[in-house]
Amino acid sequence: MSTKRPAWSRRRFLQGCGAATALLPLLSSEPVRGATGGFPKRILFVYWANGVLDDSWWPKAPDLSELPYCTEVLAPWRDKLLFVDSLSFETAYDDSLVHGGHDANVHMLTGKFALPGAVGFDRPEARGAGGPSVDQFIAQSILAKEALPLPSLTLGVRVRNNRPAQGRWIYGPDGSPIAPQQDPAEVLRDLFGVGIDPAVLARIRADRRSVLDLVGKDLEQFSSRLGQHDRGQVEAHLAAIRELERQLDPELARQCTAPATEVPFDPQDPAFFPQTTELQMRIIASAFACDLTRVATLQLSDSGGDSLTFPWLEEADHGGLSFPAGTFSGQQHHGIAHAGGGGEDPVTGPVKRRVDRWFGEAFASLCSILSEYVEGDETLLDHTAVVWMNNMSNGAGHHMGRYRGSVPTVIAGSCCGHFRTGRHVTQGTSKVSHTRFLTSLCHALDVEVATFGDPGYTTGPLPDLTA
Amino acid sequence: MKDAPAHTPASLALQHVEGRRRTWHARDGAWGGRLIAALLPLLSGPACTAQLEGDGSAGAGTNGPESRATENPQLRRLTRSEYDNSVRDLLGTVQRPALNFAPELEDSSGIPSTPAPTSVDVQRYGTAALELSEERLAALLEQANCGEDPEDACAQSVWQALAPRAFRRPPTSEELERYGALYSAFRASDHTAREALALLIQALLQSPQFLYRADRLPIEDAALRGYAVASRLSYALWQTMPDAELFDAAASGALDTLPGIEEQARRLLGDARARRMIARFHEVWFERDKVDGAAKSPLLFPEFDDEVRTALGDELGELAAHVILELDGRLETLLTVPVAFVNVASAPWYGISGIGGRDLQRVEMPATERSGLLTTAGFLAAHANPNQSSPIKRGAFVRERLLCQQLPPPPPELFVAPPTPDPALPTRERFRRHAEDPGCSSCHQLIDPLGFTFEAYDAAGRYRTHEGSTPVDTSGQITGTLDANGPVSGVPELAARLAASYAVRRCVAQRWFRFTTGQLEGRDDPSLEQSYARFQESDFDIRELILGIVTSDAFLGSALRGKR
Repeated sequence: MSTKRPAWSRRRFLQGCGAATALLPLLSSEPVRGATGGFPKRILFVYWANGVLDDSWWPKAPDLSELPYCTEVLAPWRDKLLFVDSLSFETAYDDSLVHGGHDANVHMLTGKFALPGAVGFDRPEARGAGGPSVDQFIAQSILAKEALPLPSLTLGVRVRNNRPAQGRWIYGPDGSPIAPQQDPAEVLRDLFGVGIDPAVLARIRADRRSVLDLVGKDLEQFSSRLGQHDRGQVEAHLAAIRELERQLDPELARQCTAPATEVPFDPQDPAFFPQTTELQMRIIASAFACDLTRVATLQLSDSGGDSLTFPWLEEADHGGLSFPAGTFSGQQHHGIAHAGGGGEDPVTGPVKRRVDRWFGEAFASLCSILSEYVEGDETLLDHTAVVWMNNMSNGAGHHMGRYRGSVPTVIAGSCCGHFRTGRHVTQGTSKVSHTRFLTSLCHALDVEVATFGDPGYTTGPLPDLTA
Repeated sequence: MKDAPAHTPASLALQHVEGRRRTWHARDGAWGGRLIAALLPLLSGPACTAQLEGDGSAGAGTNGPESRATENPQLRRLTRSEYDNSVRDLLGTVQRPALNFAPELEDSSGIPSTPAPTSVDVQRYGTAALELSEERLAALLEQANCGEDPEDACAQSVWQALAPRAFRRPPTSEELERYGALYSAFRASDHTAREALALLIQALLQSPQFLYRADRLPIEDAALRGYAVASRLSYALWQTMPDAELFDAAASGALDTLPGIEEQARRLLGDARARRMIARFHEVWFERDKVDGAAKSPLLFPEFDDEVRTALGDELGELAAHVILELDGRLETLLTVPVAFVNVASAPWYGISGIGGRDLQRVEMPATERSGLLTTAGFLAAHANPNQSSPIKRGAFVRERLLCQQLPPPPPELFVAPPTPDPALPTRERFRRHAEDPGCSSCHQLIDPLGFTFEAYDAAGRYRTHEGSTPVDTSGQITGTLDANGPVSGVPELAARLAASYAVRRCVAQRWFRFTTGQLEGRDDPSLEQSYARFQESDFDIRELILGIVTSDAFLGSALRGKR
């Protein structure tokens, strides 16, 4: 894969066209781009887990001039960052979560109480959340106004937990968990046509529409035999078929530059977690740049992270710390957060800090990737709200913001000037329901709602975030 | 309780009771109340008693059996393994396309559920169907003697033969018409007969009749009852579609009677294809995923690699299938048999030498060292810390997975971090605070004394007699059960006591009931009670329990209404 993606230019753009066809969209059409301000707003959510150590993560100065060990790697981007302090997953605290912060995923972007099937009771419901996650809500709102090829992209890396409240964080309109796409090769093929002979594509697409049409009829027939209880899933299936048929509409085609033509490593191998993460980031950036979609999510591992070790850190620069050999290949994220999340221990505390610093490095590289796309006088990063959010405030005790720390939350990019960046914003000493933050995000994308999530909490957007 | 200080777990219970929507509460089933009464004198605070969910005999459902999902089980799509096994049996492929599909969700009993499909899921079905039809078309044409460039009649005969198996029932005339019309449409639009056939196969593989388990729905058409029973049996016991003999039994009416169903169920359960299902049940029960993800300190256990994890993970299912299919099938045997299944990678973790090759081999072990599933090195390693054993994880496992009691999480306002390992202190000393701090002890006295009996096994599941220079102390205590309470030392004794306890027998019956029927039992569910009676009468033979379940109302639903 290419390591450096130069700024958007018409010439490079055309070079990439050969690959830009797929089972999804894809004919030639010049994307319409106005001057600065005429570029669309996008939103990207990045998930990570297991909380932080407050004193080594939160900024030491309101203007971000002093950043501690875990976040100092973000210093080059400080003017474009907004640290949002004081958030608590209040709905999660008032819900009966079986695994504390490990079940907070189901609240993070939904702001609603979970359905019982999600949180560990022995119930087989497939539904999880009490409503859609805010990314899906925003995606549907955008789609109602503009015909985009894809409503949203839901990607992930090394998500192994399949419990609805722990291994997922994105939920559809009925609260159904949506699994992230974890294989970059699949996304490259389906979005950008990488690896497919363009000559056979037109025929495949035409045939596929006929087959889908029949399957749609079968589904309608099938659905009529079902009770109300079971009909929901089949209707969603039918809607997914119609959505795919919509995506096959040549009118919607975009011409996109594939960010890679092959995946030269095993995305399932934990040793390639950073490479897989970067490729997924580049896929999202490409999809944003050619306006395939305006909403995306990237889930880095899962709640707990039991399968995530950090072998690549064995050889890394630790920013002044040093560790014995084997420190990072033999421990998984969950264990590291429990052992080191207290912060006092001289052996385990620094390991936790180093791991959190790596996630900061990953976020910095995302900022870098997005800023490589020049849009007018600014970059793609400036036209995006990149929301970086953890599922806990402190992982050692499964805290979620009310009792210890606040939910680590950063927005990178001003979203076309909507957010006033370069700051660390607190709400005094009190904690605020994260539903207000979710409301702020809706407003940033011009989705006007009084409040998002459970209206039983303080409503309206969070003060002091906007320009 | 309301006067409890703010930092104790009692206030947690209070907070939850006053929570806005759902509350912690005991499942007040038949045994739950009695259990709590039996526990109360043991405990310093009410926090944990309020959340113990009974001993496995009470239904988790809060509704009566009549509202059990029997008549309306949740519709779901094929799981990934059901899909792969079904396309293997239908088309003869060796590909496993569903490895790329979104994983189904699964509860802790192994009941899968499939969320509403997205356009990504639908696209994956399409891609898999395309690849399967391309891969298998030539072989299918050859089997039907159609030639490479078939006549229409021959091509049509191929999909018409596939459809009843893909749908697990004879297609309706309307379905045949619809698919026939699509074939004609493809032929009319410049496709060859061969191409049209490939597209028809793709349509079959994407149809709801193939992708959904319609056999779980109420059966309206009496002529189709046998097919629904056949499909339920084969997916429950083999995780795939019926074989030819089972389809024949459905067609002949043999599955319209209980003896006929029992005969086929017995055949399926005795077949090697049941191994995978038995392994799957025990992999879920004993949390094989944690074996696969078990991280061990590279300083202490540099050789604990993926090859070891895989061998130790595979052993769980291998041991269980061995007991159930080749030994006497009894629960006691499952929990006490001193046998290990090892290969070249995992043998050293049992202190065994002289084993070569990758295939797991049966090895007799000293009965003082190893005792069935609870002493498999994979289970022990997965329920341990990277650098030390974990009486917490092992004790909580016994409480939750063998006694079917739900433990609450640590209270949210409490700050919890495990003690740093100190080589000078034996494990139980490190956790002394659990017993002394009243904020910890109300729950941990239900966990730690069970977990201490596992101290003869280190962080990687190796047997040990000493921890450092101190002899290991495996003494512990069973509490909070109706008939197994008392001091106990070491896992062999613990396992024997558990295997003979009512609570564990009920718990195992409940887990099999949920796994096999794909639904929760109702309160005092007669199907579960009848299955349990059969389990008991057979001296707790798991095979009889399974046969009891698959011949019960809960499993067969309306299929046998009025037939017995």
